[in-house]
Amino acid sequence: MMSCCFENTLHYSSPGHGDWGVVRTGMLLPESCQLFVCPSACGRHGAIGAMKQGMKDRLFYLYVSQRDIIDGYDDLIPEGVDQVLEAIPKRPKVFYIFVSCLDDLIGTDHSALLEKLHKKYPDIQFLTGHMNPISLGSKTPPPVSIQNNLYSVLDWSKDRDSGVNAIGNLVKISDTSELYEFLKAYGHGTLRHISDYNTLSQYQEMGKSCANLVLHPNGRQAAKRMEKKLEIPWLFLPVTYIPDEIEENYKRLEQFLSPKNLVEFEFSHKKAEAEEGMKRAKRVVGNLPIIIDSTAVMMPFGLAKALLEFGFHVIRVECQECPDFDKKHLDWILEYHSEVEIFQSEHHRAALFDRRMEESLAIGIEGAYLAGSKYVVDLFNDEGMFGYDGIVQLMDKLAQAAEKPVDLEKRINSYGLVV
Amino acid sequence: MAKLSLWLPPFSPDYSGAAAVLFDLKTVTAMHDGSGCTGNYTGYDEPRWFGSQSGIYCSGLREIDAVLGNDEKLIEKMIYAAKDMKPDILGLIGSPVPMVIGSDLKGIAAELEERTGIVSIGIDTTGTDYYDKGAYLTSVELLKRFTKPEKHKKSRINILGALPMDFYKGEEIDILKKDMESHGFEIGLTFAMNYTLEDLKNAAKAEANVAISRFGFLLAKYMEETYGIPYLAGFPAGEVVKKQWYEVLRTVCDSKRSVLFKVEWKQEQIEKRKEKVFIIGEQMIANGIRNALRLEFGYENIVVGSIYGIEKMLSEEGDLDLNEEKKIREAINLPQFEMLIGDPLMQRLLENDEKTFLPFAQYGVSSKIGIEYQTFITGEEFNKWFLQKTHN
Repeated sequence: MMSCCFENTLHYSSPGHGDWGVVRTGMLLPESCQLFVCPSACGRHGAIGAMKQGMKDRLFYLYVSQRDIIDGYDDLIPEGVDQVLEAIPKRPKVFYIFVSCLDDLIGTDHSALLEKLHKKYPDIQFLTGHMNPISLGSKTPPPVSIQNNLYSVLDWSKDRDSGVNAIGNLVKISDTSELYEFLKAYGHGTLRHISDYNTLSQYQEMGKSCANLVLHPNGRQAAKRMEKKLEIPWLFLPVTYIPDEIEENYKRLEQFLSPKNLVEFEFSHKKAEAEEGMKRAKRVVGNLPIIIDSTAVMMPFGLAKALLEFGFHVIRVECQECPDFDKKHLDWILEYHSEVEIFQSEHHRAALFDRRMEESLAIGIEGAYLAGSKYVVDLFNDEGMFGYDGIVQLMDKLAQAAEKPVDLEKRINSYGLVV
Repeated sequence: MAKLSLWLPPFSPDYSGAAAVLFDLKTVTAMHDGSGCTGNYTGYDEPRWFGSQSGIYCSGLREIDAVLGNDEKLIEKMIYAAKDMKPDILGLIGSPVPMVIGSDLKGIAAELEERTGIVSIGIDTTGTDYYDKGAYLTSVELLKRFTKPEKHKKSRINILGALPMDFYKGEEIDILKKDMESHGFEIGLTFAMNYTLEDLKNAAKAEANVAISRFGFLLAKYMEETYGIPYLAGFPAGEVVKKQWYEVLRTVCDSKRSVLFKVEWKQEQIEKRKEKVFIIGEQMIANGIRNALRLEFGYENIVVGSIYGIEKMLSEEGDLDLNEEKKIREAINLPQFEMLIGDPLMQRLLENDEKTFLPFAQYGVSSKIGIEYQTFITGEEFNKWFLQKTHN
């Protein structure tokens, strides 16, 4: 089955475009602060976004001039670090030195810089962070490199325990997910997530875990590095809303955890809850056209398949490209539901706004914006979703969204998105 | 020299100013960057972006193309977009990476124009200057391409210096335009908010320009040299000030001589206030507030601190060039300043709360964070705002 249909054009940047960005993601690291060394322009979105998230007191800037760029700014950074440390009330345990796109082209010696800084401040771990969107499309674009940063500070531990890490996902899996009970049933007490920790020493607990579940693809490279450095094996389990795939994922997980005692975990209660939620959502949503976009979920074609199979009226999927793990769903859509429109959200033609459909329900704010959808599901990056509980939650969100039109501009502004 | 910024966000950059000038026109404009620079503009510098169909795009510059200097990819993307969008203008806006690799945006624009027949411009912004610089470079480029010298028409006025970084969504500009029309003036070009290509082409018909920001002032000087149009530089904040401003504008029209607006102030006219005031922000708007505080409310001691750069011609003795956060912090904490007027984010730099702080939002500083403090200051609107703020 052939896949289609994405072009490399000038990029339209809709008001609904963007995500957490490297600043907010990097802030997940407990007791860390960030110094951006870049032209002043590069930091504006990150700074305003951080203000919206209440994190600006950990984010600082050293603006470099054209002269500094020509001369090389390595030597200016230690003094900037000194001044930040003097000014802030609480000494950080981790200090990111962030650089922007242009640094990729001028050859700053980051290893030497980090060594110098570490010598001066041995109680602080220094990391090089990259906010370099010109590397998008490479193996290590910013959303991947920042995940690498997050887990790079974990130390190898000889005290391996039964804990399991969830990595890649920026928000922890909802407490209501059956995943927690599933892990318990197989003798794994805790599902750990970076947001559980307030201090760096507590965070080291994640280094003791016996397995990594990679719940978002941006964490895959970090997982490989952790496997090498910390000897933690990993399994990629992208969030899906297709019941067969959920079942399959749990089977894979079972094999991966290779439990001593196989137990028959009972999913029936959660499956019934999902079924009930589906019926309820269908009653409320009815035949309202549904638009899905990739700001909401990492597998928009997968979600389209799920909703079509549940009997919803999916009319459009919006994304800029189709990731490898969503290709099979795209092919399925092309074969069985060729009426579903595939819309490239950053294509220059998006600015024509010739696909408006106000009477629609959008899952994802970018799709909502481009279509002018009256009803919008509040979901970003599959946040909190996993397993059958993901279906339950999604159905609740669909039903809630269909009941009340949303002020999209207000909602977009509240997210503090960063491109 | 590198400058440290601890508590304030970076201010709106030059490429955002360039894009804001092109926003109203039918263009295909590419900000030549990876994505973040465009995101700065669309997300945090352009309050008109939501709901607009403006043709400002990101070129999607990638490392390999930067290293190899592959301009052809950009040219092809531009031509493809132009076929669909049918623009009047093709624009290329620079960012830090093109600066580092020495991209010849003007040269690429020339090639685009040759291949498409569409007027094409390249703006060498770098991300190391502020929005007013980018807006100026772009405006001059547009004037060079579209505006020919013409006979001036009586009472026709251009308003120069309108940008969202200073005037948010432009309602203040609408108030000013309406007011000017009610005083018998015809508004020509409003550069660069809510204008058309026709307005731009007819810009040299104006009898006078009014410059309402530093960017507008620089442009007014350019238009005086190029088209012989005299200007009045100053924003008419305050009820009585506005009356004087109109009188001076008429003089500018009649005499054909430019004027830097300063209020006529006889000290016995009004009860004096000794409280020393410090206004931090865009230089010409801050000057406007200074005029109003003097004439409407009797404040004698007022200092302006300019955060985007300072024009000597617009300065009074003692005014400050606050080109880094450290200087802003030192200035607003000087004990002599008892009342401060500035963007709400400046308050973070205050070391104690003994001073009166009147938040006056500047989109070029606080973007969406400061929206609730956006206000109008044209004519009597200033008096209302000031009285409300100082009587609470």
